Amino acid sequence: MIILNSFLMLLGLGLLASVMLAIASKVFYVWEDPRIEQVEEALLGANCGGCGYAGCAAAAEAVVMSKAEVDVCSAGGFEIALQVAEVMGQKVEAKEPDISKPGCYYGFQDADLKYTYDGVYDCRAAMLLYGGSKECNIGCLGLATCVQACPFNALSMGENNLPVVNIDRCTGCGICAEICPKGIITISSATRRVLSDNKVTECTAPCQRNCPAEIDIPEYIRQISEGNYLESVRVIKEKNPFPLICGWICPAPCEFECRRNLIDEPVGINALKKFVTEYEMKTNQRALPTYLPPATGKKIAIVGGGVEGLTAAYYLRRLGHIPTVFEATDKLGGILRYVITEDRLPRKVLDWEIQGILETGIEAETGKVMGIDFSLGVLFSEEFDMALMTTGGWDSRQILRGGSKVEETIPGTYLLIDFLIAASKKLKVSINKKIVILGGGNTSSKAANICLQKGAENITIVFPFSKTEAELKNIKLFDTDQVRYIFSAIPMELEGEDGHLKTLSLIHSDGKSEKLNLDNLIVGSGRYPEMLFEKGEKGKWKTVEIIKVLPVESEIGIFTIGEAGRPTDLTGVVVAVRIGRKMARAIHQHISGEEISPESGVLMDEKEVQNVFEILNVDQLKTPRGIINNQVTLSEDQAKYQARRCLNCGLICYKKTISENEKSEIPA
Amino acid sequence: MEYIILAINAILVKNILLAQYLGNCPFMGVSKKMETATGMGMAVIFVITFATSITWFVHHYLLVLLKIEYLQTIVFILVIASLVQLIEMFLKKIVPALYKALGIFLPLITTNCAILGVAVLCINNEFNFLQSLFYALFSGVGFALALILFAGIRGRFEIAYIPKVLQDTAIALVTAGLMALAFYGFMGIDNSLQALMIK
Repeated sequence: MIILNSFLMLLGLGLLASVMLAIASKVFYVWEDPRIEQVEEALLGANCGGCGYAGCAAAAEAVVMSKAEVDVCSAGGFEIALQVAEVMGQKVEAKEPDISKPGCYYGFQDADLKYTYDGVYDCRAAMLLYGGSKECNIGCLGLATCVQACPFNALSMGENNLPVVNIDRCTGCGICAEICPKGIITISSATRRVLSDNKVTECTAPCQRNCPAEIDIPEYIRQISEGNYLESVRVIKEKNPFPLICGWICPAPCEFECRRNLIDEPVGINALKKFVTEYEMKTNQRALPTYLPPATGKKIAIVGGGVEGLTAAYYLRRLGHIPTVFEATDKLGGILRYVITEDRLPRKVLDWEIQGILETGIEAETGKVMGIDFSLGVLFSEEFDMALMTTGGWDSRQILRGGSKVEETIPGTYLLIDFLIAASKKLKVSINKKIVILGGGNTSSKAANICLQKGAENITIVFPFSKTEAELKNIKLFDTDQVRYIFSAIPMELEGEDGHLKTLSLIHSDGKSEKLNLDNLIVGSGRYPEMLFEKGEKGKWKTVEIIKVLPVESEIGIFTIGEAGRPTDLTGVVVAVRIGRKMARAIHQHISGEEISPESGVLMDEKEVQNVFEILNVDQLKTPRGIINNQVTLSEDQAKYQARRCLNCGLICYKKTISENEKSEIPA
Repeated sequence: MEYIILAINAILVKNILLAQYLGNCPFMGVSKKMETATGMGMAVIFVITFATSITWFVHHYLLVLLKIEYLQTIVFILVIASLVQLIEMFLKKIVPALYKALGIFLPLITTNCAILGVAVLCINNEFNFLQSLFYALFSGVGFALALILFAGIRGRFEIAYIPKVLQDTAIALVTAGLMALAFYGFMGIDNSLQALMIK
C-alpha cells in the first residue's frame, strides 16, 4: 500500500509540476532572440568586461541588437569575431592585434624616489600617498596591480619591478590600462602608433621629444643594439617613411637634446638611422609594415609628390585608404630631387625610398599640373572623396615647366606673387568680376589696381589685422566704391562647384561670420598652406578646416598652417614628414566622422624638451663620438658602439651604470 | 517575543552558512564581489521563504496524510526545483526589473542545500506554518548577512599580500572558518533570552 501510495504520489506530483511548468512557459512566454545565446556561447565567457559591457551575456545582447559590432570581444580577437560573425551572418575582416604596452622603463630600484613605500601591496593604495614613491609622476609603482587584474595571465612582474607582457597571451582587452592608477599602460599596435603623438603621460626621451617626426628613438636604438635591424627600421617607419633620406640630410635636432651632451658628445642618432636603413637597402629586404588594414574604399587625391605629399600618402595607405599622388613634374620627390644637390643626397637613395612608399600600394600620376591638366572639379567627378594639397610654395614651383599660362591650383585662385609676375610679364591671367584679395599689404593694392584695369567690378581686400594696424604699416588704402576693405577677419572656408570658386566664408574678430560670393581669389601669402578639400553633392566641394592638426593653440582659419611660415617652412625634410603624417591623420579622422584634433594629453609644441640638467654616475668616454657626418656610414661594430652609448633616457631616468664592455674605445 | 528569539536564532546563533555550514557553494562562489553577493543574498531570501511555505503544506497535507514521510527529500527537491522555475518564468514576464536583478542567481539556488535544509529543519523542529515562514525568512536574512560580510572581507584580499599557495579559495576557506568561530560567540544568547522570557 505504502509503495503504491508513494509511487502514485511522486508520479502525481511530477505530472502536476511538469504540467504547471508547461502551462507557465506558455503563459509567461517572453520572446528572446535565440542568437543572443548563440553569440554568448561563441564569446570567451571570461566576463572580463574589456569590451565595455557587463559581461559576455550583455555583450552578446548588444551584438544581436546591433549596438555593437561582431568584433566586440576585444579579448577574443579575430577568431572569436569570426564565430560571432557566423552566428550573425556577417563578414569580418582581420584586425590588427592590440597589445598591452607598459610605458615605464625604470623600476623603483633604478628610479629617483621621494620615499620608500612599505604599505598595502597595491598600486592604487600606494598612489594615495603623494602619488606614489617615485619622483617621476608617470613612473610605474611596481606593485603588480595590473598583473593581478589581467584575466588572461599575460602580465607578470619582471626582474626590474616592471610588468612584462607575454605577447602570446595578451588579448589587448585593456583592463590593465584601465586599472593602472598612473595610466601608463597603453594598448598599442602599429596602426595606433602611426596615429599617436608624444603625450604628457608617456615616458619619452628628450631626443624623441625634439624630433619633429616624433620617432621612438630609444626604441629603434635598442633594436639596433640587439641586432634587429629590420625591426628597427619598422619602428622608425611608424613615424617617418623617409628614414634613409633623413639619414643623409636630416639636421638631427634630436642630437641637440641628447643627454650625452652633458657628459661628452651626443649619440650618433642620425648616423644610426642611416646605418640601419642603409642595411635595409644593401640587403634589399624592404621593411614593409607588418600589417595593412582592410581597404576602407575611400579614395584620396594628394596633389604634390614631395616629401609631405608622399608621407601623407604612405600613412593614409597604412590606415587603409586609397591615396593617389599627383605630381606636376616627371618624377616624384619634389625639393629633394630638384633642389638638393646630388652629393648631399644621391638620387639612388631617393629612388629607393620613393619606390618603397609606392610598394605599399600607392599610385602616382606624374606630369600632371593641378590647375592646368586637371582641377578639383575633375578630381571629385572621378570619385575621389577628398583631396589634399601639398603643393608647397612658389619657390618649389619654379621647377615647373615654364608656360604662358598661370595655373589656378584651386579653381579661380592665384597666389599674389604669381599674379603680379604674370601681369608684369604680360602672361595670360584670366579674372572675372568679383575678386577677393587675402592679405598681402601694399602688394594687394597693386594687385587690386591690375584687377581694376582688367575689368573687375567688385574687389574685396581682406586683412587679418585692424585698420589702425594697416595705417601703421603704411598700407595705402583705396578710396573707390569698387574696392571694399574687411579688417580683422580670417578666412574659414572656401566653397566651389565643379571648376568654379563660389564663396569664401570669413570670421570676424568679434565672432561674426560673413560669406562673400566671388569668382577669383588672390592669396597674399607666398605659398599655399596644406589644404584639404571634401567632395559635396552635385559637383560641389569645399575646404575642411585642418588647423587642429598640430598641438598648438590659438590658430584658426584655412590659410593658417603654412601662412605663418612656421610648421611647413621646410627647415628640414623631417618637418615635412611631421606635417605629412598629421595630415594623413586629419584625413583619417575626418573620414571616420571624428573631429580633427590631436589626441588628448598631447605634448604641446611649446613645451620644454629637456628636464635634466646634470648627469651623474656616467663616465666620460675618451673618444666618444668619432667622426660622424652625413656622408659616413657606420660599420656594424661602430653602430653597436653608438647604440651602447645611448643612455636609454626616459622622462627623468637614464641608464646610470655603464658596463666595462660599453666603455670600450670606438671601433675602427 | 517568540519571533524575536526565532529571528536572533536564525540570523546569528544558527546562521545557516556559518553555524550549520549549509550552502557552501554560493558562499565561496559568489562572494568575490559585493554586487553579486548582495544579489545572491536577496534571491535566497526570496526563494527560501517561498519554498519553505510550500514544502510545509506539502509535508503536512500530503506526506503525513499518506504516511510516506520517508520520501521527504525527493519530494522537497522536486517541489523546490519546479517552484523556482515557475518563479523565474513569472518574474521574467511580470517583473522584468526584478528578474534582471535576481535573474542569474535563481537557477543557481534551485537545488541549493541551504534551501532544502531550511525546509527540512522547519519540519524537524515541528514549527507551525507562521513559525516556519518566519524562520525561513530570517534564515535567508542570515544567509545574506554572512554572504555580504564575507564578500566585504574578500574584497580586501585584492589589496592584501597573500602567499601564492593560499590565494583564492584556500584563504577564503580559512576566513570562513574564522568567521564561523566568531559567530560561535552568539551561542547561548538564545538560551539566556528564553530564560529572560520565562522570567
